[in-house]
Amino acid sequence: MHCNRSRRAFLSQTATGISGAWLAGGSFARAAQAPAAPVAVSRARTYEPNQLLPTMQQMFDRLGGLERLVKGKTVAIKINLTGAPTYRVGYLPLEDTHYTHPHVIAAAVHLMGRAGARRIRILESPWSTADPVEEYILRANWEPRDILGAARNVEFENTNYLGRAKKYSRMIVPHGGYIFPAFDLNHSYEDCDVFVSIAKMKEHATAGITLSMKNCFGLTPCTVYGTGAGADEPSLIPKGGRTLIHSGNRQPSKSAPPEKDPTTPRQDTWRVPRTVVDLISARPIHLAIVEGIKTMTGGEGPWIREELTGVAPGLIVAGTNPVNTDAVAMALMGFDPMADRGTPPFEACDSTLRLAEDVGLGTRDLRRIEVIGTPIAEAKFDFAAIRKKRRAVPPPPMGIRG
Amino acid sequence: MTAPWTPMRWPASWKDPSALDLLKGAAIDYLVVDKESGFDAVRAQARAQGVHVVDAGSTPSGVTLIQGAWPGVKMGRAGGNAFAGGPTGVPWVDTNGWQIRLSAALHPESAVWVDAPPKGSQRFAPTSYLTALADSAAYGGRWLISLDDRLVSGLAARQPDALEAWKTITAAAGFFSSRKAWSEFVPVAAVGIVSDFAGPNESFSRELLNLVGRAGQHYRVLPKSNVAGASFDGLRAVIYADQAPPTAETRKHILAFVESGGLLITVPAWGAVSGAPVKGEEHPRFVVHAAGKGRIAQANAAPDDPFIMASDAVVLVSHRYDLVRFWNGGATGSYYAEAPDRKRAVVHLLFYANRGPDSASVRIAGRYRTAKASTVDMAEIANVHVESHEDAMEVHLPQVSPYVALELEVQ
Repeated sequence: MHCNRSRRAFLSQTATGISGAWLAGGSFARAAQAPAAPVAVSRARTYEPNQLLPTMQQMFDRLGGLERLVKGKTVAIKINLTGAPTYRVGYLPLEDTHYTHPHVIAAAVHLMGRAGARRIRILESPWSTADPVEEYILRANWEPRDILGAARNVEFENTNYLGRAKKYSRMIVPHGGYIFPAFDLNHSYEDCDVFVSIAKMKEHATAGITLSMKNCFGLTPCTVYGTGAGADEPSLIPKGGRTLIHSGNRQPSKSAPPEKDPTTPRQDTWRVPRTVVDLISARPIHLAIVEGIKTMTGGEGPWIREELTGVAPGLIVAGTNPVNTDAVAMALMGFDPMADRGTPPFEACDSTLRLAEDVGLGTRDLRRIEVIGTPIAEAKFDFAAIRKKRRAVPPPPMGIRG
Repeated sequence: MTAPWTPMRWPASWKDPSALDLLKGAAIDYLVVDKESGFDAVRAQARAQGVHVVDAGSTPSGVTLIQGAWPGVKMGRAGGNAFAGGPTGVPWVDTNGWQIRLSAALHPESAVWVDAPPKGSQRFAPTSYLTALADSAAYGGRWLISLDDRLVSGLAARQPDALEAWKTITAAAGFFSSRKAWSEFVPVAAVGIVSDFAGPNESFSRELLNLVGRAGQHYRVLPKSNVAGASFDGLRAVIYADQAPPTAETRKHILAFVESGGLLITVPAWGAVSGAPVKGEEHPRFVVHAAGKGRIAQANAAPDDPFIMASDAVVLVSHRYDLVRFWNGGATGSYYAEAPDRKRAVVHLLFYANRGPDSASVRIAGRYRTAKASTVDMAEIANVHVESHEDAMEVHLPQVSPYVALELEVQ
């Protein structure tokens, strides 16, 4: 199926803003009206470019074509390189378990370049460093030239600090914010016409699952929102993780907007999903890609104290609405996207999808989402069943890792 | 450098020469013994057993004794399991490797002993002793074996756990003693650090050695007094961060290296650098100039933090040229050296946590035909998986001890 929608319609389906009238409605009413856009699902058995490129091309075509979205535009792509590149699940390459695979990134870049993107910035906030992203990924045994050479005018930027700009960009949360009314982010998140999230399909210890929305938790620079953030002004270089967002043990640097209400729960399972929704409201996602060709079960990275296993679901999902896309990805993982706190994978946390739906970013109701390509029932890889079996026994002892 | 002996500080409470029985079959062949007369019998018996003896406070001819730190992950002041964080928040590791390397470069004719006794009343695990021995021996030095009080009394009473710890110590000492050829191996390095390592440069340049090593960069120490005779072979870059400009002779040799394609990382004291800034190589603290086939990266201001200088240097050189990369290693260190004929190499892998890591991987740059992994108590580790890459090999290790030697043979 090929959709011949106009570029205006294409962009309007993305969560670019929320009207006051929308917010005036009740939660259930808002959920019923939350935007719905088609989501493309494809099987992809390997990361071989000769198979990946046509697969992704077909998916984007089914969504209306990349050209409508990126031609003549500056595209920012947030990838997922969670944790230090010195961590692996066993001996598996990082890209086969918890990092977005470089071939998926390169394929997306190549196709966007071919569709006429003027400039493409690959963005990530690598763990505790202001080093260039290129240097970071070399430590994961990647070759940055494979991505930089996939199209014209491709560059990386480390968004964990000020980067190449003179000041941070103040990004306002249109719905007022669950926790933060606005964020101070690296300029790249403002200096783009199109924002893309390329995530890995994974469970998450704090947020239940991590897909295209949770990937954007890493938008926050640790110089402002990290353990080593300056009290008054941002630190020059990032140090440590985002403890202050997780635990709420302190406020961001005073130069940035503080939390709306510091008396709210100081629990990461309450705070992280809400912060993610605030972030993707402030920096709307125009294209969400979730790759689960190879990934892991048990959590988001090797440091999680669960039985971690590399798996090959052979899936790739894309859509123009991140809530819709994540809902389909959840269903492909064997989870119910309508699940809420207390139900897997949200046994102990709030559902980022529900919170996003509540503020009108998109529906998580599969009945309202058109799935294009491989049907969910045919493509499903049952993370949920693996999770249930895994959690029936005590977690294994952890070794010492980097 | 040389490492002809394996030294030990004789415990002050062991005045009975019968304790020398512990040395039978061990590689320990040099004792540092208290000067007092109560040890006369020990000294005499030791000499009779063919063991060299030197008075405490003296250093044998041909040996440089350096004051080191007990190697390992530095624990926080609060004690318990809290690690002390380094400048990046990662655990801080004390190691004596850089001091040994510097001493060897300044005094190549001397053996290097490291005086770093265990301090405090806590129990030191056998693996801590293994780390202490390996941290020196891997870099070509020898740790002056020094026992904690509990181990001394336990050995005197021949307690089983003390004897087990002693077995670990003597196994490690024997392992390195039997591999004397390694002391002839020369360091494989990506970066050379030029300095006089003295006077106003002493503190900064020495900390630079420590921190460049901690960042995983393999370096060669290049004393400024002998740059003309130094080998720049295989280096990608040279760091010159002294406070005064180099002599004309030193400058000439470094610039020849740059002209032929190398990178000089330097400071304003180097003097004016001609050549246009290289487009696309913008850096917040350096200007990178083209120079012949190479480049000169000059800091905008005199550096006052060796950590930032070391971190910048590693990125300016690029992780592309990492000689050793670890995964799942925890707090690691490594020293990569090759035989003079370049047909063999050894990579010493140090895991500074008290327990070796599970599922650690290491990537070694270079083209090798075979790799053999061993520990001090295992001639060849079984279940080691080796993957050959284009210009590197990756080795997957099972649960291992805090020290592994990887012996490599070239293709």
